[in-house]
Amino acid sequence: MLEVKNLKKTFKKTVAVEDVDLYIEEGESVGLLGPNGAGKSTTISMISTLLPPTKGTIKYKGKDVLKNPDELRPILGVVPQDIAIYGELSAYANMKFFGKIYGLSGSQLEKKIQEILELVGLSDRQKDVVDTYSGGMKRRINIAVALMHNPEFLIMDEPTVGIDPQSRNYILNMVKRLNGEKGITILYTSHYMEEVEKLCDRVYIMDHGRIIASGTKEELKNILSNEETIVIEVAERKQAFTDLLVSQKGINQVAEEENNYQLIVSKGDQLLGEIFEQARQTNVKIKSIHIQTPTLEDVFLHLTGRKLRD
Amino acid sequence: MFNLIKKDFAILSKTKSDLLELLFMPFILLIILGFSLGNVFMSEFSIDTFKVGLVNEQTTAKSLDRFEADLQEDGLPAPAIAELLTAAEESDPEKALTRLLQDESLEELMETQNFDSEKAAEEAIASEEIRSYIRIPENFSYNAWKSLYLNEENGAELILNTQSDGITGNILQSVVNSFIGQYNVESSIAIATQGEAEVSTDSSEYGEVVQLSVEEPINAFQYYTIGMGVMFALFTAPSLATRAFKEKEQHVFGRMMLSGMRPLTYLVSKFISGTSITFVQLITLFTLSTVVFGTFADKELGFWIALLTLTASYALFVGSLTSILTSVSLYSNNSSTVGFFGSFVSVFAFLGGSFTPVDQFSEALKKVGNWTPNGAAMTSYLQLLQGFSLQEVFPLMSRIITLTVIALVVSVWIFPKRRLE
Repeated sequence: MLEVKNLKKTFKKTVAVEDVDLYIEEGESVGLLGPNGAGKSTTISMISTLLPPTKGTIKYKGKDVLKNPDELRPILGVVPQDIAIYGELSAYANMKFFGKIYGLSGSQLEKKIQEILELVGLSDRQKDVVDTYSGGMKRRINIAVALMHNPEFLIMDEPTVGIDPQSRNYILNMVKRLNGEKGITILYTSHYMEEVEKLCDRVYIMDHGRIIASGTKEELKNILSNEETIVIEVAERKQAFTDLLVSQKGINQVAEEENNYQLIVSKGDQLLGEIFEQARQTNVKIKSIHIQTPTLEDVFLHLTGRKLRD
Repeated sequence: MFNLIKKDFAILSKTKSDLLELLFMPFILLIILGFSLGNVFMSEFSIDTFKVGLVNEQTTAKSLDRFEADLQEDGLPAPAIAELLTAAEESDPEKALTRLLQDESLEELMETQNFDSEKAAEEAIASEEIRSYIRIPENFSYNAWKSLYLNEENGAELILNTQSDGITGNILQSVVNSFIGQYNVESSIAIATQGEAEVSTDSSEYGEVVQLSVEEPINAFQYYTIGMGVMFALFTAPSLATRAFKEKEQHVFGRMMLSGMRPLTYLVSKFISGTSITFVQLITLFTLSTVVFGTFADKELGFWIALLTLTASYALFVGSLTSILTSVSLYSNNSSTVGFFGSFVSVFAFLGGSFTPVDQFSEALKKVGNWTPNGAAMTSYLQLLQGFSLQEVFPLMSRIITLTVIALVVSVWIFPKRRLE
């Protein structure tokens, strides 16, 4: 349905996106995973025809959308990372405004507004000013506005940033329903690995403006088929212990977060003895150790040496 | 398009800070300045009726007899003499001048007091009873006729003696100069057309300077209603342009473009919103000021039509300013230009005379002020208040219209059409 080839975007001398190739089939839910600053938002701005690329092609059903943006725009819904609505107006007024600029009117418009408000669970607050909403409610109305014209293809740019777990769950279930029940094709960007794992059939991993891996979740995890992840919880992290772990043979990657160490190690290597010994030498108190099967987060760590939220 | 404009109005109505700045601040400042500077304005703009002495040393019958004798001496045929005497009597400059000085249109300005002799008038000046007098010499009409009809003598002489170097002296000088100029022109035309075009005997036709000198005084509430109105109208442009930049920053603009809307439609909507909001803003202020202080209460329908026309043209200018600031901020991807302009509104307002009448400025500063759109609008409004017609203020209005057209063309030219498609 959508094919992107050799996409590049430079801002003055800074290369934001380079050599990006991706495709999306009709009805698919595709994730674009990467840390902040990886180039995800720039990529989707180009795909949604709002930002012209420096180089590359974007084709929708074989037609060049860079030359003819109107080929894609009518069936495209975009949920920007920012709350792209008028905070001074009510949810109802916002939906009415955006519905009208999409050409809806009269009873058709009214029916659509109520249908979408029901979907996002804001029917009872529709007359309230958006600025009085919680973060989660604002995110939901941000999505609602993008659905006003029945889009076939929905691009969502980190739609759950900065909200509480309950609202986040609500949104994730809603996106799943949009894709599963309504058949809307979805391109979902996030730096939350668990969201992409839950929602997407296929995943593109981006870092420093490039796609560094792609495939189904299983294909990506198979990158780590010869490795496993050890998560060590300690009372307090110490640099000396980190240095020893990094220099330990068989440990391929070391990542630190709060009181945890996350190690990617070669499968079958018996390293626990060495790890306990290094902790003793550096006076680090180990509280727990888990050995787990790889996640997409581990794949990213393996590919970049960094955690997604670094 | 209508939805975009309706949305701008809806957002403005919900934004208390903008409402306060655009609608209530000018009214509050108008109250403060109107009350605090009320007396200053009244003394600056009102002129008390002043007395003018008139010493008429001529007897028309004697002058006519003398003129007839001259004509006979020149050997002119009797019918020609009769015709010339009739024309001379009808175009008697002494009668025209006395009629003018007693005309209703000058009653509010000056009161004429007759004196038997120049000496009596001099004494009246000395006792400060009067400050000026006009003396019509003995052969005033006779000399005028000799010069006009026989091309002899050096013409008539009218003597103006004034001890006033102020505005009353200037007005009297203007009345006399205007009378002489108009009389000469009309008499010359009458002679050139051999009597087919007659010399006017209507005193109201003797001089537009007379009309100018009866300008209505402007009080402080009228002055500051206009001053604050034109100044705060300028704030509408940066306010809307800042919102436009925010719309782009928050991707609302992108959402609109995805709906198939053309970028220029958006720009035009900002122009229309800026124009409409300014128009509503100014009319609200004028109405409120009239209801509370009776600012324009005694004005006739013609004044209101002219006021609405001028307000519409100034609103169009603010609309074009909105569109150029929108274009610049979207083009540069930076709202600092808008902020920069916003901080300069007070300077424009000062130069345009929103705080102090430009008459108190130097000539150079006055010229600069009248070239600022708010200054041109301000002067136009004040002239309308002083009784000028829309036609008379058109030269100033045309500056506003010219600046509007330039701003619109530049805004369309620099609007980033391609980048945002």
